[in-house]
Amino acid sequence: MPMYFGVGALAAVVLARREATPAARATTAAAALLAWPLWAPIALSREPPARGPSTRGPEARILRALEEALEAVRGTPLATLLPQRSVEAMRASVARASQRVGELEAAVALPSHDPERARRRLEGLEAEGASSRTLATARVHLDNIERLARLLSRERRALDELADLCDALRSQLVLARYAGSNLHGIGDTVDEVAARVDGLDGVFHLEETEAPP
Amino acid sequence: MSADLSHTLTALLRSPASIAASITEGRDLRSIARASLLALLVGTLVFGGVVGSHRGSLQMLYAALKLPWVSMLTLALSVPVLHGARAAFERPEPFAQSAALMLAASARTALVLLALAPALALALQVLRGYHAAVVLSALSYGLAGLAGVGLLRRGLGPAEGRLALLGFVLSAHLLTSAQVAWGLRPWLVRPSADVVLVRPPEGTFAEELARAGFSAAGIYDSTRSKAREAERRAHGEPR
Repeated sequence: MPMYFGVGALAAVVLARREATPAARATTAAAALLAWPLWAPIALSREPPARGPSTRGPEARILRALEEALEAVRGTPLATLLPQRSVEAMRASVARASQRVGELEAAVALPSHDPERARRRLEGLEAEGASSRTLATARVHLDNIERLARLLSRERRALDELADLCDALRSQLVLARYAGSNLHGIGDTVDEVAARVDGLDGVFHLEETEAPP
Repeated sequence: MSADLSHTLTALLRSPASIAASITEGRDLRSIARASLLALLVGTLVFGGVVGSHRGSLQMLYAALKLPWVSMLTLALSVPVLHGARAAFERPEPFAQSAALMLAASARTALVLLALAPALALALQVLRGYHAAVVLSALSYGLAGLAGVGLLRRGLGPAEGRLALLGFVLSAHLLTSAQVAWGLRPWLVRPSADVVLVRPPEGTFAEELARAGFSAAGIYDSTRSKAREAERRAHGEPR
């Protein structure tokens, strides 16, 4: 027992020094003291780089445009057209869509998901006169890869179009604030943005329900 | 309780697949481990206290303090087993992920133990018999263990060969856990026995299992019976 806690105390000191905040240091020290055989390997492991909010690309454009649009209507009668709560929901949907795009990009980038490679493999099998079962498996694999690529392309396009629309909304709101504008037209644009944002979550479902080409 | 901790604890119970996926990808290992350690400590502490409540008084405290140590020591021994077995089954993963997976699976077990604790406490108060208490406690532990096995299975990678790996790791874990718990007896404490923190070392769990099997078949170990008899006499206990 003394040896266990001796090693635990040493681990607590070493591991706690690696933490940035006092709360994290206290938690790590307690965990290392009590359960160093389990905690130490985890604390010493490297986490994969977290995918933070991007500062480029359509997601960043949308978020920036929404933020500036919100700023433009703050304290004006136009604020009712773009409530803070709606913008928060839009941000969450856009973040989800952006994460899906990131995951799809990672999946499409896998060497085993290279469509050219899968196509060559299928052609090679056909040339070899492989069994119908083997050929069917290779065709399914190629089809899945192509569907993944189509899905990624659709998600990217949806985000790009939404970014353009958000830019238009922002300029419309800024113009309305300083020069006055047709509120009805602005309401239509806001509705269109909301519908497109809702549609982001439906892109996957759309793909699933579509008949194969 | 921070939102992150609360979210991880909820995911441990309600979304074991997401926890297993995070561990497989090496994501959020620290937050999973932190929440798991907390769940493990609280769950086993409370369940230990409930088991000790069968005898009451000081035994509640002793059992509550000892059960978390059974989990910790068992994990400290079975994580290297999992890590080695994964390599042997040609699906090696970093040691940290093996540790996080076993920890999360045990934490899920502990959370279910925590949920079962009130029902067991009530049952122990109603059914006062020692043997009924043993059976109920073991059943509760077994039931909670199934929840942990579900998470462990999900974290062991592709389906091919997973069952064999799971069987190997579980066997090692159960044997280790049983021996550690045996070494830290008593838990329920027979009405005739004294309440002590830990009994002096006496054989192994496997020996006791064999002895119990022979006893059930009507074959008794005369040497041991005589030693027990002598011990009872020394304490002035009735036969």
